[in-house]
Amino acid sequence: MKRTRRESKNERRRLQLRIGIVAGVVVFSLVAVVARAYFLQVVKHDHYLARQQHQRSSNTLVHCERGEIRDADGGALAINVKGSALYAEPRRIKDGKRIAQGIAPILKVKPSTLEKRLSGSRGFVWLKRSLTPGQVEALKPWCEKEMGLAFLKQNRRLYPNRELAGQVLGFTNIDCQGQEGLERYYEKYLKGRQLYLEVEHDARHQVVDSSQHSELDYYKGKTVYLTLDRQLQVWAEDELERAVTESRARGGVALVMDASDGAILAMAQNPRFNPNTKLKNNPALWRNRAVTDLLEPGSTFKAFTLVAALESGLYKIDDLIDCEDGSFKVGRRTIHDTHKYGKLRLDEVLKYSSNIGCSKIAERVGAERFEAVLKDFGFGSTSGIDYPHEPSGRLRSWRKWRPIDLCNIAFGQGVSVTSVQLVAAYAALANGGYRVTPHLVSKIVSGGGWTVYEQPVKKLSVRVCSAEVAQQVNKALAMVVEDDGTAPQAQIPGFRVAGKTGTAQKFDFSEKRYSHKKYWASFVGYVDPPAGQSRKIVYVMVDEPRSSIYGGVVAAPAFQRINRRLISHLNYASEVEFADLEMPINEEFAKLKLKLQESEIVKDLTQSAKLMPDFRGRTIREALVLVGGYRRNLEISGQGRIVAQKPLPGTVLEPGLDFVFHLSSEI
Amino acid sequence: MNELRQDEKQLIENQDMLQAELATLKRPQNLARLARLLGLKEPRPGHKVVLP
Repeated sequence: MKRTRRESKNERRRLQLRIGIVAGVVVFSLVAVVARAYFLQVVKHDHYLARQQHQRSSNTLVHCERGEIRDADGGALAINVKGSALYAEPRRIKDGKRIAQGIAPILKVKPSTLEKRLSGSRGFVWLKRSLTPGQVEALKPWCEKEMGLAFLKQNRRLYPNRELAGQVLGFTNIDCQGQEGLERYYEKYLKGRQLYLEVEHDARHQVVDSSQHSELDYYKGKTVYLTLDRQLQVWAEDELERAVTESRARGGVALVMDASDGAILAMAQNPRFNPNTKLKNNPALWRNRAVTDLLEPGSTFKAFTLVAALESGLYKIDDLIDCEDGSFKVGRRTIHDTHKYGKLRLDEVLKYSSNIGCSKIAERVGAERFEAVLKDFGFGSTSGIDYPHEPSGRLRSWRKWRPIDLCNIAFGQGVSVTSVQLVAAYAALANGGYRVTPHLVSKIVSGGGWTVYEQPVKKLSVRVCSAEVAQQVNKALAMVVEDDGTAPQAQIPGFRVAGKTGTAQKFDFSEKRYSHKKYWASFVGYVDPPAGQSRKIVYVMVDEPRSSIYGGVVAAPAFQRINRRLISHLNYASEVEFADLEMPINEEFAKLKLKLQESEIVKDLTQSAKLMPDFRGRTIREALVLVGGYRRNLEISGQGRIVAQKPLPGTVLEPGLDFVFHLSSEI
Repeated sequence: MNELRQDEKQLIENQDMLQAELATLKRPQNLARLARLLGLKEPRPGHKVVLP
């Protein structure tokens, strides 16, 4: 019994000892944990916080989004889209050879090339900058599986209208930096700021998100609004292309400018250029020829000779000039006219485009005074257009002019201008004699919505000729498009058209003389708008036409077609009576008319017609189909769509009725 | 929160893509082609009325 008590006592002691040991261990552990926690959380707080931040985020250079380019109505011309790029961190890649062989077919590059890029200890290397969505899908498993291979979202420039105003807009490089055109000229506004921002990484050290920074919107590039009217630009490009194709020419330029302030509404060029695929195009196409290329203006320059004559006070508009029956000697050289003219009034010199008449005017006005007028109109100096690489043109000092040079310049030879310069000079004539500065940008708006630049509403203050002289020259320009002028094809029935043709020989540098095969054919002018609207100068230049060389034949029809669309677009015709419209029936139309008249189907289709429909706005084909069954006498005048009809709409139709349709071209 | 941020990011990207697609579809040449297919004609002089 005694033994039992002792044993139980010992056992209790052992138990107490064990409990004590366990409690000690627990207490010690707790103290250690608390101490360690204190050490980590309090003593080493700053150290570990910094380390955590370094692992999770870093300061990274962020390129803010590039600004957009929009047309006058806010339509997108150049925007940004997010694209994926593939990069690698070679120092983190373990088996470069295997990866290279795996992804090379997706990227369509040689495995050996990729392998070389993936080897080494570099921290970063691009594998492909712009991936297609298909390539991104195919590469996703690789990026998820392999360390050191990842995507990066990047902005890519997109020109949604493709070729539209391609040369005007220019393009950017892969890093979204402006390289050509407006993209280059307005680079400082368009480019987004580069900022060092704290961005978060994931475990693979990829940027999780950098778009959450509200500052990015503020620092993104500014939106540039152009003066271009997208619809007019389309028409100018289409009509220019038609003129170039029909005349089998090398190319061409078309411009539409508001004469009141120099705003360029359309700037077309042919061949066209798609900035989305810039590298697939010939670099020669990148150039905006309307601004950068010099050409001899030819007869379009004669309007300024007339201005010089009238401004000098030596001539009145009805003075007669003896045009010497088409041949006039200046020193050892002889100047010719295309037709023989005797005495012509000053305005007739322009109407018939007499070289001799202009030469005689210039001789009497004198070189110094003539040069001063040309300089006032902006020739020989840059026009100030907001576009890169504009040359000043070539207008030598009058002191260096020989007598023959003076005569040549009077009819547009021996002087070189850009298309923009010429159009700006005609704008001055059309607005009553004030100089304008051509421009393509109307305003620039920041990412925050602030207008940081706005084209100043310039008061027309620099006068280059008197209003009276401008009016007289404009009247003379209107005579050019008369039936016996040099450009009847520029006529638009119901509207007053004024303009001047130009047919300039190109200089052949290999033969060191003017070519007899290569010409610039041009037409520049305007249509008188309704009261309250400004004149719009339309210029068409066709380079090396082959069907005909004359501006009146090659360029004037394109001028007319652009203006027809412009008239409709700007609603010019609201004040014009359709009764004034008269146009000849062309042969093709006459054939169609006969064909339809003889058609049996026409008769079958018209049995149900009882009342005379309203055909106004419809084509003659539709009208003939419906009224064919009642046809006895059919009279059609004009071409295009029906604008007037007889019998009037609603008249009961009876056999034997006479039908009269008056058509006008689609304007 | 992370999911929502991812969703927002995705939606912004989608919006960008749709805007690009819209701009491409609204290309004047594209609209002209579709208008011709639908038998639409250009307005004649006086047909257009500009509302104040």
